[in-house]
Amino acid sequence: MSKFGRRDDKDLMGLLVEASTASLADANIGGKDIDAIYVSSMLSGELSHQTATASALADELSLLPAAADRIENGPASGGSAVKNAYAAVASGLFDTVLVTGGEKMRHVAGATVTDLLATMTHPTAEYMQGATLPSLAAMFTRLYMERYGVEPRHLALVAIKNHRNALKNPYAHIHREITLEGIYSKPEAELNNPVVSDPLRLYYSCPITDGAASIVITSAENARKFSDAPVAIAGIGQATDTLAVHQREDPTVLRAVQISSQRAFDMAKSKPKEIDVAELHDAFEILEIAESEDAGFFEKGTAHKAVEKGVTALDGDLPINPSGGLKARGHPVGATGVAQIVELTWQLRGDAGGRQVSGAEQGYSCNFGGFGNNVLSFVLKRGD
Amino acid sequence: MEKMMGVKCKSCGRVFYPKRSTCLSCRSQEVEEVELGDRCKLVTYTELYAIPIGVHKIPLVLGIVEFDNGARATGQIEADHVKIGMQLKPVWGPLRTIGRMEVFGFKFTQP
Repeated sequence: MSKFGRRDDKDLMGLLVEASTASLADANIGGKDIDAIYVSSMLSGELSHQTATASALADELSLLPAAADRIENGPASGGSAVKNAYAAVASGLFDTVLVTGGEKMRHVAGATVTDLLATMTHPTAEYMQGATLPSLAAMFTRLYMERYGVEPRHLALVAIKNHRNALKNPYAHIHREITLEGIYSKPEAELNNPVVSDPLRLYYSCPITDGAASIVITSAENARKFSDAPVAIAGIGQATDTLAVHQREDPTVLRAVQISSQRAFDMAKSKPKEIDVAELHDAFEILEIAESEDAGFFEKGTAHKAVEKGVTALDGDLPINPSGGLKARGHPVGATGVAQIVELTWQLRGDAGGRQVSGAEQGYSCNFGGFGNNVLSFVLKRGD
Repeated sequence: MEKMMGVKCKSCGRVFYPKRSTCLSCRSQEVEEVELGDRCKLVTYTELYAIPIGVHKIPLVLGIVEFDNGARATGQIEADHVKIGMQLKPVWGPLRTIGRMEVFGFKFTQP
């Protein structure tokens, strides 16, 4: 991982190199053993004026003549890169693949970033109307509130938990504790936590972040040459849903989350109740609640109550986003799906420091693209 | 006056907006153009304060509406007291600019 945050000190390539160098060192692997490089980035061309980013990284890391591809799949780019690397190794095409995801976003105006992100919505039915990701999340949040009794307080509780977890993650963008008084209940909360898109407020959404994350994927047999404690990708699922949110038969159901997680659990021969730690895609705090239901951890419409009871806290029965999640680790878009796998790897190896979930043996991650129109789920297991 | 059009699947009967060539529910390619009519209800909405580039009103009210035939659409809402369940009708008008181009489409107002 690179440090996430506002990284004025490095450009996109610098961040990709920082993360890649760290993961190659961690894997104890030399450049000659890397057969291919997959780089996930959604907006490298638009924001960093650089395309064919994987070719540049292969050169920069002196990994020539390794194969190299950039993978763009919106906010699910990272998950897609991990999946493609897994498939390449499983097929025998490559033995060892470096997967690095990154995004450099803080150097341009927020409105420009929001506009570029909005181009992943339906071009005529949503984008032309002025829809942005926060506005889609807000309409989803309102439906959730009407239907299931979720209140803004629950969104605040998710944000507070994730900020608290991030205090223990040295790579996180935001190291600042927030309180219910400060963002919700006291009069000054109105100022601290302004409305972005009613009922969505600033602290119910993730920040804009620079950063990169990287992993090395190799066969199970190979992994033991490099590590005594490899972590296995035991299950992968991916599913799509309607591009326009309004086409969904029930717009409160994240069908691509349901199907991708079912596929990942089936492949891993696992079940939600066997999961010890989860990294969910809380680009908006309502999504942590909804994904935790549609992935099968809680009944639909009940996860906000689990949040209230502390079930998803670091010391709860199912810690969600020990890293701080997108809310506080940050969301450099192309890095996120990879960063989730990095966090689970550290958790399963027992290397997560002050945010370690004790005895974690199985982890789950959900990387959510579009507004739920392309989702990847992963189940990871501690190696034998 | 411009009429808001969708397509109806001849096989399962589901109606879609915008128009598409294949039914999302049953994958049939037998679809026919239909008028969506002028009666729809607000399903959900937001008042967007972080307005997108090319929009000049704050807040921009966006919502999802549902027509009597079941088709839904996302669009700008122009109404006094916005409330889930309220009756709306589509009207043609300017939506925003994209680059230097002014874009027109349907938005939704009170009947």
